[in-house]
Amino acid sequence: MSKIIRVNMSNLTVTEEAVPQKYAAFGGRAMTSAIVADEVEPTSHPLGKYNKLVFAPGLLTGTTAANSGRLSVGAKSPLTGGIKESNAGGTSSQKLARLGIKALIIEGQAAEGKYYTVKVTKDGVTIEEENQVVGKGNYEAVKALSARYGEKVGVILAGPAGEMKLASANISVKDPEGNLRSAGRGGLGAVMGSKGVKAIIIDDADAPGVTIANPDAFKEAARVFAKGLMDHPVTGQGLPTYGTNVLVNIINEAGGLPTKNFRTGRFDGANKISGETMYDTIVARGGKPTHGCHAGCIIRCSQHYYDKDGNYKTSGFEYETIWGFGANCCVEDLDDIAEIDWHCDDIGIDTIETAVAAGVAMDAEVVKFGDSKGLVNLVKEIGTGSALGRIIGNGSVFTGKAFGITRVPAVKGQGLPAYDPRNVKGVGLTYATSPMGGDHTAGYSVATNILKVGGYVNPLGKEGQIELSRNLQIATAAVDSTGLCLFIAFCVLDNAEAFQAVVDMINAEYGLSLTGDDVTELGKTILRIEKDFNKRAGFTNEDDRLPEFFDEDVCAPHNTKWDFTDEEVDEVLNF
Amino acid sequence: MNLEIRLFADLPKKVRASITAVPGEAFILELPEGTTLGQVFAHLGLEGEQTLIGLVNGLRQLGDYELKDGDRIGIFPPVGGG
Ligand code: SF4
Repeated sequence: MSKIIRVNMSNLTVTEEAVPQKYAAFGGRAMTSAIVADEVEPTSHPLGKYNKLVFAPGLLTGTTAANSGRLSVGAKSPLTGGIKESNAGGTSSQKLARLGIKALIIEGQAAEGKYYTVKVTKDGVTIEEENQVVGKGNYEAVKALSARYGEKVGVILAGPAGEMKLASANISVKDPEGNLRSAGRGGLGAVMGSKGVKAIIIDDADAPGVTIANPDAFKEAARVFAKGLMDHPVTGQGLPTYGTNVLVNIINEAGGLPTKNFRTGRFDGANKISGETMYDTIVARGGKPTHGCHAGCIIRCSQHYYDKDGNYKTSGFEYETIWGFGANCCVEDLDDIAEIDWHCDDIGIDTIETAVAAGVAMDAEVVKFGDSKGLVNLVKEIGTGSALGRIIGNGSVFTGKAFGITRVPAVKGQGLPAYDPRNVKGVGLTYATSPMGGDHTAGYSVATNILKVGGYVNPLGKEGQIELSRNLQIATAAVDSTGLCLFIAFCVLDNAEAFQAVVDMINAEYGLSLTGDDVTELGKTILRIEKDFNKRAGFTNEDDRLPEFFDEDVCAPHNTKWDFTDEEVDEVLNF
Repeated sequence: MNLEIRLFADLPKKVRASITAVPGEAFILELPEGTTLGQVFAHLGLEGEQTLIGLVNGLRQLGDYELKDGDRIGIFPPVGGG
């Protein structure tokens, strides 16, 4: 991957640059974060012309490496005000890589009210005014654009939420079947909407493809890596069968399933929305229990969920979504949650942020806890652009302010996901300290606290948690730079050979001789870049804190509180 | 003593034939005082499953953990997500 493409929406020009030497070893999150940190004034308005939206495939994307087709999207976040990398599946990342594009940067801002479709092909980039799909739901838009540009093209979309510049708007990416995957967190869809970019089309017909410096070594390392994934019980069996939603029951049993806007850690209706129930429902209705979000994924944690009449309802129906609109809102109707997931995808809004905002709104009795039909309507409201819809669509903190609710589970403006930090303390440290804001993927201590992956650290104790969160945040920043799906971590945390295979694949592709330590160093470099951006944007250690109710309210069933001191929290990313 | 057992994922299909279980639904096992978690695995016919996760009252315990009357036990195969 040899070039960086810049699309300036202020004057509708495109320039192409060689990759500067300092970015040579970067990909994915390393690339998006480095460009945002180098080029965006940290104090600039996230929805103004000085912000930049960066798309980057990972170091291994475009190769035959299993699970290597993830896309990183970066910008200054309108939700957190800090730096953001959001990660998605879909077909676009591999196409960018095969076109030799290491980063696609959208900068400037189109004239008010105008929208464009940016089309990337092997011959260059064109910018066309978009009239047909503006204001349309994502499902209709992706269909129309695929019909216009060809079924095989990659499509990246800002949905209606992005057009409205809502702080929870996601960026949707077409998957192999023409359904949607999302770069969900942090409101990057609003940044795309603010640029006046409705869609990006990636057509890799006759693309040069990725060059591999040492094909034999690559092939061997890729084989070892794929075998590791297939042999590990989580990546080879658990995830393919039940998807990520298998977590509902184990997190509930462990007492870490945030229920009723983070009041308790167990939900009576858990089994009704569990992965096991979902699997049986999908099979009974003729859906697909197993499906990959991009070609080359061999874990295949996704699925097609069908409605009662046996018609496609939604895909990529994930644990966080089901927890959020389920236990967090005391809803136990999986079909209603699937309906909500479809609307979130169609409107182009992050399910986690919207679910946390909905829980806060339920505390204000906008809709009653447990009222699943009311919840469906509340989410649909976002797409209408009504005042209520815009409040919810601006996220949990905004919703709390609008309704005078102080019980808002969020860090740096971003709603907390599906693990109560009092009962899974390692992930609480990640929520508190990640430069991304409240995010579980940034350092998934749940693996070691609950799932017996990568050793064991007691989820209720403090011992070992600081190092755990730190090491996982460093490793995750590195994985997010490879283009590999983060779920490969379940395998590589347990299997040194598979971890080495990842390093070997990078070395074979680029003709390098990196070691495991270099990979750790890359992770640290990325976190330093991100922390520095946030500092320049005005963040201090005081922003690395959980909301005070976690210190004060005990969480059943273990009757725990958040008990890390500020000094301890500040140790996490002190390296 | 009575133990409240829940089996998850595909474990209900793996237990010995005399036990019928539905994923996530509790059933009671009556076993002698002093029974360990490992003995419960064996009683269920799951002793070959090296990678099981056993949660007793929401806390992970190992095979030699001695159970008490009324304990809530959740047993999982390796799972992941996020
Ligand atoms: S494991 Fe799931 S999230 Fe990861 S690449 Fe495959 S389908 Fe996508």
